[in-house]
Amino acid sequence: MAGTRPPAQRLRGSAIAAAAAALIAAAPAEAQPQATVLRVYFNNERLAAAPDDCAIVFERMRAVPKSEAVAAAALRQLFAGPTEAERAAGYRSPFSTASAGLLKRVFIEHGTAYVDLHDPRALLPGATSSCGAAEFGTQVERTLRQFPTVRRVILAIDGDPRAFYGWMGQDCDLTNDGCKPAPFGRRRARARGSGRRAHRVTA
Amino acid sequence: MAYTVKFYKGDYLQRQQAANADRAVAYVEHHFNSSASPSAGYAVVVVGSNASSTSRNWGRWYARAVADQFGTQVGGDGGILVGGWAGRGDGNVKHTRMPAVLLEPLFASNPQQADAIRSEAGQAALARILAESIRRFFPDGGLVAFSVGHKYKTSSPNDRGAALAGGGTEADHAELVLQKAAQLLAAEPAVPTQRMLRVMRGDTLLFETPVDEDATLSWSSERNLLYIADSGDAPVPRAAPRAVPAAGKAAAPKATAHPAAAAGKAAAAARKTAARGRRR
Repeated sequence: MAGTRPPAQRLRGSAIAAAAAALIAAAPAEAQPQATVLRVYFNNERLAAAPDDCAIVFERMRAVPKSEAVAAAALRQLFAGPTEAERAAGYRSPFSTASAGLLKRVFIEHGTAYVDLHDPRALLPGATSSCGAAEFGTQVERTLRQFPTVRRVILAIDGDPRAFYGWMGQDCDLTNDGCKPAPFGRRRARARGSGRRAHRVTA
Repeated sequence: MAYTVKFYKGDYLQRQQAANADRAVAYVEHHFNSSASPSAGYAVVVVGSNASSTSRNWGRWYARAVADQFGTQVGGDGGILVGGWAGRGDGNVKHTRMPAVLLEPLFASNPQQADAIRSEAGQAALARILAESIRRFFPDGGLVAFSVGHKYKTSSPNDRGAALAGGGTEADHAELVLQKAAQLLAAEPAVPTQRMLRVMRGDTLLFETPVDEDATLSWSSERNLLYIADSGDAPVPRAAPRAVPAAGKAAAPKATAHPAAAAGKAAAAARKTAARGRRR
């Protein structure tokens, strides 16, 4: 199928493959056979056609241990922010090493990724501005939508979607299932009952 | 007629409901924008997904005036984001029954713009533009509702919004601008004024002249000349009410143009008709 893709796409695909190979090669030797390569997305105004558009993001590759749940792994990589080299190359994100532990858990049900966060309000005070919200929202959504099973994303703070969307100045409506906390609670209860960790549901 | 300004506190929905109950004529929530990129810097105004054309035109006018004042660009769609980005910020303004805007004139994360936000001159300029926009779009005066973004929320009392590059917080400085704008609105009676052309150096007025509401201004950089096209219309009387640009009716059920806007537009149309009659 690769041969049917347009040249630009083939080039992009081969560039990704090369980047992935480089990342895996750079990993410790014993980790190499276990590695999974994931994508995270950051802003970069040097690359963006419209530098003022805060919703334009660019992918970066990350190698993670293969056994880890991929949606959770991708978000953890995203929340750790760009590396120093990436920042020097113009990649920008509201996330940094200070927010590396932001993810509480993520699970996917019927095409919806439910992302439960530790309270980000003091950590990311600029994320509710129009540009900050676009950066935050686009980076999270694009990172999760690399998985074909994810069609939309609902976020919560400590299991409460109303807290997240209230912080963002967004009403509870059809787009966020009316901020119903039930999926977050249901998942927690099911995880407790089965002894399984909720965030280990993979994309 | 004069303006009364009231600051509303509590969660955003409560503020809007209280302003509705008080029959405010206009609602302003002041924020500053923020980005992970320190060079981001443009003026933008969020209006509700159900915004009337008055809100949209008011927001566009304000964003353009700020961009001109601070030498930046306007963001969004000609200066406004209808419904915010993916609904973010929509809930801050969509529940009002009067025209409402959420202002993000400058970036708290941009070091140069943060300096302007902290400065007396920058705050005064923002306040002057806001007060002027209110006089222009709501010439009949009335109660104006001010809301300081982030601050005084019942559900999150410690929220102060984004950090200003170099020190300070978004909310504290938004409040300073609103306080200055409130003083300007309270100090001057809501006497309708005609369109004025002004030349300023910093905050100092060098030259001022009345121009027709519909006059087209063009700048010649080669001649250093600002040319006012001669429309042939009679000069607008000083006491005539100001026309509100393109105030129309919104498709959404929200409050549309303030009656004053319609009155101003009707007066401008009447002046034009009279002038045409004189020319004939």
